[in-house]
Amino acid sequence: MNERTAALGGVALKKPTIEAQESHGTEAAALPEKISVRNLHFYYGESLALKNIALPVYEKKVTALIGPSGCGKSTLLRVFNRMYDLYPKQRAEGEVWFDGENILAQRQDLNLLRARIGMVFQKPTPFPMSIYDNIAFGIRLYERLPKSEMDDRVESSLKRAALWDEVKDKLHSSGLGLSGGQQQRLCIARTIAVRPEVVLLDEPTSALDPIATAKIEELIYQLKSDYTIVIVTHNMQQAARVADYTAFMYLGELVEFGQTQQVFTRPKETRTEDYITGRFG
Amino acid sequence: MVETAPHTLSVYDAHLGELIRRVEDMGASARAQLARLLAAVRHGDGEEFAAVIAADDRIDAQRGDIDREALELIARLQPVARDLRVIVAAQRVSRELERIGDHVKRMAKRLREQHLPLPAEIVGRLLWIGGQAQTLLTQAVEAFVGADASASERAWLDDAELDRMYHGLIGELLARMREAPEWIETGVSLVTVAKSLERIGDHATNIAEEARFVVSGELPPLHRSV
Repeated sequence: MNERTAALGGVALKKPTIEAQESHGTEAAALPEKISVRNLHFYYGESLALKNIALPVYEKKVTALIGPSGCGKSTLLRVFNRMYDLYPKQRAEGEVWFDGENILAQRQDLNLLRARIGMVFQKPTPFPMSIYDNIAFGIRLYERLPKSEMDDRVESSLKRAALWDEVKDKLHSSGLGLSGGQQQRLCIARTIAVRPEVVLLDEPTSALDPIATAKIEELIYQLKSDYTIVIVTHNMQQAARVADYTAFMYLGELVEFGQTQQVFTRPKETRTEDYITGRFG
Repeated sequence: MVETAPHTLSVYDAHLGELIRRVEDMGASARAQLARLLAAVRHGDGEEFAAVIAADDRIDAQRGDIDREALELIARLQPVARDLRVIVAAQRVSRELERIGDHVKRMAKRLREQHLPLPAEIVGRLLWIGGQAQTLLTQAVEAFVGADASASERAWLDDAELDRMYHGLIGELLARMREAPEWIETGVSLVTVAKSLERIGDHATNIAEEARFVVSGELPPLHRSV
C-alpha cells in the first residue's frame, strides 16, 4: 500500500520497506548477506547525512543505490570501505557487519579492509604507469609472486575485465593512453586483481559514452558470479538493467529496498514511484 | 526469431529469448489441447473431454507468466524499436492463445453434454474444420517465432477457407434441425462448437499478423482482403 505524503519535503522518518524475496511470489529463500548495515548514522561535522540506515547487501548479487543528488548514496558506499576515515570531521555510528566483523570498530585494519572491499570511482583513475604495472602494483602490496605467477594474475585480471584482447600486445605501454572506457575497465581489473570479495562502483559509467557504458554493464553482469557488487548510479535505468536489488534513498534515508524487478514494476512507496517515474528529482 | 546482432548486454538476449520460448511453449500447449479435443470427438469418449477441460488451467498460467516476463523486460531493459515490438507482440500473442484455449475448453464442455457418438457425417466435418484450425494455429505460431512477415497473407487465405468450411457445416446443421426438431438441442450445441473452431482460425490469423508487426511495425489492416 503506497503511503501518501503531503509534500515530498516533509518526510517523517519511518521504517523503510524491504523486500528480500528471491523469487516471484514463492517462499522467500534465506539469502546470505555479505554486508549487513544496522542502525547506521553518518555525520559530516555536526550535519547528519545518513539517518538510521538498515540494509542487507546479498552475497554475489548486484545491489544498486539510487536517489537524487545529495541523498547519501555515495556517502553510504564510502562507509563500506571506511573511505571517510581519510577526513577527520566525518564519522559513522552504528554497525556494518562484514563476514562477522563490525568494520566500524576502531581496531579495523583499513588496508586489509580496502583490499577485501575494492572500489572503482566515477572518473577512471589509472596510475601513471604501464598497463601491466597498473595491475601488478596492488598485488605487490599484499603478495610476493614470482614473475610467471604475476604474469598469470595480470592476464587473468585483464581477461576478467574484458580488456585482455585489446591490450595484450601493449602491456608495457602507459595506461593513460587507453580510451575512457578502456581505462575504466583497467581500473576494474586493478581492483579485482587483489581478489576482493566486494567491489564498490561509484557511478562507474557516468563519464563514458553509451557503447563503453554497455560494455561496463555487461562486465558487471559477468563479475557478479564471483563478487558481491554495490553500485551507486544516478542513472536509474542502469540500476534497472544491471542490479538484482535496488535501494532508493532520499534525504539521507533508505526509503525502499527490494528486488529490482519489484522496485521498478510495483514500488511500494509513493516516493519511490515518484522518483523512478520522473515526477521529482 | 530471425537472427539479429546480439546486444552488448547479454542478459537482454537471454530475456528476449526466454520470452519467445515461453510463447512457443504456450503455442504448443494450445495445439496439444486442440489435438486432444479432436481425438475425443473422433473416439466419442466423454472422459477425454473432461481431461481437456482440466488442462486449460495450464494455458492460463502460461499467459500470466508471459505477462509478468514482458512487464519486467519493459521496466528493466527500456526496449525500443524492434525489441519493444517483440515484447508487445508476445503479450498480444499470449492473449490470442489463451482465447484459443478457452474456445477448446468451451467445445469440450459442450460436447461432453451430448449424446455420443455423434452422426458420422458431423464428426467428419468437425474433424475436417478442426484439422484446418490446427494447421492455421501451427503455422501462425511458427510465423511469430520465426518473424515471418509474409505468413499473415497465407493465414488470411487459410482462414477464408476455414470460414467456408464453417459455413458449410452450419448449413448442414440447420438442415438437420429443420428436418428433425428433436435434434435442435444437439444442433444448437454443435453450432457453438463450429463457431469456436471458426474463432480459433481468427485468433490464429491474428497471431500470424503479429509477425508482420514485429518486422515492419505495421499494425494489421482493419479489413483483411484475400
